[in-house]
Amino acid sequence: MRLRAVAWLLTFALPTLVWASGAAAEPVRVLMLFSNDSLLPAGATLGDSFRNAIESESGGREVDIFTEFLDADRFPEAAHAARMASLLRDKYSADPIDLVVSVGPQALAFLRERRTTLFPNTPLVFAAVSEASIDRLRMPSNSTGVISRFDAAHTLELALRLQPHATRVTVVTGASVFDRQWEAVAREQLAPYADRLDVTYLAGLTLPRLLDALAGLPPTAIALYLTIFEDGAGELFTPRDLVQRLSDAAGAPLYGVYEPYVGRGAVGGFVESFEAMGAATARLTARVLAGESPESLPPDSVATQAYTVDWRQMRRWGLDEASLPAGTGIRFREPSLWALYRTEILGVLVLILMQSIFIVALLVQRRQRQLAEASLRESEERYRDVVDTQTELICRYRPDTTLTFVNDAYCRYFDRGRDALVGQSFLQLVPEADRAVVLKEFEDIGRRGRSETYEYQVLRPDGSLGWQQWTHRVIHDEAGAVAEIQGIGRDITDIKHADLEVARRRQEVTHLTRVAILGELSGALAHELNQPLTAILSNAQAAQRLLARNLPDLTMVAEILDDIVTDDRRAGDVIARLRALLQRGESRFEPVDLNVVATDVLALVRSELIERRVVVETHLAAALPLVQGDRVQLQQVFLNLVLNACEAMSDERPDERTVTIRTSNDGDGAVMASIVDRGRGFPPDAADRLFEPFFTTKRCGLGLGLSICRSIVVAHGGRLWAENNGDGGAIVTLALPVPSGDAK
Amino acid sequence: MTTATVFVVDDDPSICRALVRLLAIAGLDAQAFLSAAAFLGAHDADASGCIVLDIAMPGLDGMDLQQLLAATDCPRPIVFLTGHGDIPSSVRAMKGGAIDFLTKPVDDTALLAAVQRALERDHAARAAWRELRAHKRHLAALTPREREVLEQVVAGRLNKQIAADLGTVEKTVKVHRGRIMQKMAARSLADLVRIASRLGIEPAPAAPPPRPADDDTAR
Repeated sequence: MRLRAVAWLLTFALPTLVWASGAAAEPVRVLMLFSNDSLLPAGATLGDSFRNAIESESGGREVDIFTEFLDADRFPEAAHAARMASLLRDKYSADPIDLVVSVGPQALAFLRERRTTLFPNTPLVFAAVSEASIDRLRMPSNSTGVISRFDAAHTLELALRLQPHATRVTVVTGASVFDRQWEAVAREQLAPYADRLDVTYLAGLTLPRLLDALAGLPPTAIALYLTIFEDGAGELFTPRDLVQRLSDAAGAPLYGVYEPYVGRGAVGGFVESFEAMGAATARLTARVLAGESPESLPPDSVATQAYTVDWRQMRRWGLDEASLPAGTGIRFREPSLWALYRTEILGVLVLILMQSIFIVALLVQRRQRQLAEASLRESEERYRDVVDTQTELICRYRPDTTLTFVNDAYCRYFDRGRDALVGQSFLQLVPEADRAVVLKEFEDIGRRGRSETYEYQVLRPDGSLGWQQWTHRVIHDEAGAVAEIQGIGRDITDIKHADLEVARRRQEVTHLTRVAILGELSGALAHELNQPLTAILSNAQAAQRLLARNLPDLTMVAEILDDIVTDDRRAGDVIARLRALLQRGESRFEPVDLNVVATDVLALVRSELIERRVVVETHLAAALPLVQGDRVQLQQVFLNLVLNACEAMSDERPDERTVTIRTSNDGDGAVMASIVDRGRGFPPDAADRLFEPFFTTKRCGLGLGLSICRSIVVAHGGRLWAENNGDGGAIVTLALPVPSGDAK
Repeated sequence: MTTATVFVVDDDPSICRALVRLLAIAGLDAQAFLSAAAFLGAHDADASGCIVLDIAMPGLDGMDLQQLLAATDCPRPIVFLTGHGDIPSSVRAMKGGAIDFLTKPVDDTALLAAVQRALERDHAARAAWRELRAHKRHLAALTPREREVLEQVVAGRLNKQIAADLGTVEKTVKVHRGRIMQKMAARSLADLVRIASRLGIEPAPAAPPPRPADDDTAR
């Protein structure tokens, strides 16, 4: 089994290897034999095309191409043929040719006649041979090829498509053998049209006569040019070169059957492309070289023809492109100015377009700007209107306090013209004493950049001082620096005075309530003063008696006088305390010990407490931190609370009347003091109302005491509140903050 | 007789000191107490003397002390001192038996005069009180019968009548009478009547209630 496999492999592999090695080793030698001379363009095109195609068609195998030219038209004699045969035989005897390509009927006939003697076993591929030639010549052995089909009919069809109303067809041919061959084919092909059209043949005329004839054609006619290798006078031509002359001379559109004609004056035709012919020949050649037997390959007549038109001629004769059959190749479409300079035109158009867009954009922008300007003007007007009709003062100034803008209200307030104000510093309107403070404030504004509200005094035009409140906002420039400061201000003189008045009144009320309390205590206070006075009187009278004796005991007198002084001082203390409490002055904050406040107050009300049979218990915390406060006002608070406590217990039995005063440090930055009584307490919902002004549970009372106390405590930053204690009485607690840094 | 003491009770130490000094210079023995409680704690009812008393004091005030002392048999005379001097208080004090009601600051002459009166009153009262105490002792020594007879005697009844009322003979009555006089240490009938009155003994009713059998004396 495996042996057989190997055998098969070798069977296939070997020839391949041989072939491959053969192929790799030696190039294939192909001889191309042209009927005409080397300069015939058709041949050159075919040859080029063949050469370009053959290597790729042969799978990359190297192909050596040799070219020979029979030039049969110019040297038709047999002797020349014999000479050529001999030459070929000798030339290629050393290295045999692998394949011969013949181009044109003459070359094919030449080779066929000498088949047995010249390249006898070499396969032959013929090209550019008409069907008619093949029929006549009969294919040589071991050959195949590409047959050219003359197709005048299709060309005429094309013409008729473009000129549907044409009635005349003039066929132009020459006098050479080939020409006549063509003529014969054409007659045959065009015979069917004879009933429809008037078909005439201008064959074998001399060129001048031919040109005349053509010139006489009407534009509605159709001229069909086949080939003229030789005219009636025997002049030899290259058919292709004549096309232009014929076309120029013709009075009707000239159609042609060969591809080279298209572009040289022919409108177009169903043409064979020599290029395609060359490629087809190469394909066929490649297959033969690959090993296919030429006999097995029928002559190729694959479409090498197609409708082709010259756009320029179409235009010349005014022929409509739309009438063309589908798939027509339109050549020499004259690049219109558009096509030629498409890039430039596009470029210019784009440029113009862009410029237009740009211009439009600019116009739009201008319009927008105009609108914006108008709207801006309008809004500026409105703004200015607002600013000017403001009752509030608006100004702008630079950081150096120079005014840059003031509104009408500003001018009116200070009773000066705008010119007098702008450019000056606004400090001139501030009383001297305040200028330093104001300046500092403005430095702050500049630094902080935030909006701030300040109040300060200004010099009014009548010389009086007014109060103003200003809100300032910093305006930055693009660099972020302070460009200007804008301020909006209002006169608050009245408000300020009212505020001051309120403050003054409040102080007065506080004072009056204090006085009232002290008034209530007058009896007790009188008693307090009375005690030392009593002692003093008795002491003094005792001393009088002593001194009345014969031998007065002066030591005792001295003792008596000491006691008198002490008692007098005691009385003085009471007076001093009283005077302090009665004073009206403004609040003065200083470090205060609440324990001292409590004991001072208790000393003051001692007599009252005795009178009311109230017992006071004190639990005063040691080392109580000092609070910052007004001593007199805090005494007033304690006084009020203690008296309230006594009042609350007035209905209790005497042995139930206890007031407990407790001070403590809550450890959290506050000092607490509480006054606990065992009185009747208060309704729970009245807990907060107690501190409202004019709220009282007393039978006769103003109800201001606690409200004043609370406002005093609040002014000290503290809290004052009341709650019922569990025993039926009330506990009023006071908490005051300890200044930080002071907490012990 | 012990020396009378003036007890000064005032919660103000300097007043106490001044008053004691003044009284001492006036030749009186004075003692100071800073509270009513302190005074009561050291009080000897037998000691002779009076009180100079401040009304307004914490705890027991002057009026309370007056009431307390009045409840004892021998209330010590009080001279009130006050810083207030309102009329109701003074009226109350006087009604309670105070010697005087002085306002502070007190003039030494007025004070000393009041103290003097108080001491005299105390002295007198003490004597009377001693006497009364003796009378009471004597009374307690009487038998019930003697007590009955006493009541009749101080009503001014004749022995004959008393005997008839009590269902005994005149002679017995006479004997009772003698014993009563002796026990009660009365010098005369008038004296006896006075003593009885002092003691609060009511004389027997004027006419005995009519009896059904008037001549049925032998019972």
